[in-house]
Amino acid sequence: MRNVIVVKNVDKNLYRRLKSTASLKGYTIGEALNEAIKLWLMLNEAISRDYLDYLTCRERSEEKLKEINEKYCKKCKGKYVVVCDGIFIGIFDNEKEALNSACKSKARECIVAKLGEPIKEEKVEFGMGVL
Amino acid sequence: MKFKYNENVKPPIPKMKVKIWTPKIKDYELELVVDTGFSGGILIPYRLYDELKLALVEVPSRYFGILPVGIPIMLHTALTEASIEKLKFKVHVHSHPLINKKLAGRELLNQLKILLNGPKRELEIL
Repeated sequence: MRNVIVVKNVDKNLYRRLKSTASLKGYTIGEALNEAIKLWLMLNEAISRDYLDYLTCRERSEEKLKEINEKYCKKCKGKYVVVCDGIFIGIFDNEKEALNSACKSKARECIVAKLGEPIKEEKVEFGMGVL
Repeated sequence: MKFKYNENVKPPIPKMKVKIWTPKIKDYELELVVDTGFSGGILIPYRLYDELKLALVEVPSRYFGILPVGIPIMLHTALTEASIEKLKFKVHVHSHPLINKKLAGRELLNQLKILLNGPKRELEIL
């Protein structure tokens, strides 16, 4: 089914540029607009306050985790630690207990880590399928 | 287990259904496009990652996604359990607000025996 939407106050110059670029690339105006709307929504999500709050919480949790690792690394090696929004929740004997505790928290984000295991920087390769 | 290819894409593309454990929904079913060019486990849109509360079970390590143009982006990564019928695996779920795809990458695919039956447009897990 075709959806027809009438939009007021569209800038004529922008519309002309959209139309010519879309036609050069073999897109219909509708397809080009759908892509543009998707991109606009994604960009807004990426810079939303909620997302930035999440990033701040994650940074705080990473710092706290470093502290906990230094403090309990030898004593509790192999046990699991939970840090939520930069707050130390506890040390647990197994992963299941740690996950349960993280899931019950009302936090924005939690890190569940095994004490004594190195914290690394990993690379994940994307193919063209991601575009 | 057999999964039909997505025929809305030209040429048709193999996809599979995987259930993942999440803090919000215990067995959430995802339909993932098979992407051997993606080295991670599972990629989902950030909106879904957030909705499923996967941020509550994140891993301590930082994961960087390298885009095909060579640009690195910091990913959100949770470790969870994925299941396909009786098969169960530990797998990383990655996400980023600027990526809107649902993909099954090599970390997951390499744990499976998969037959891509192109002429039948069917993916079979052996």
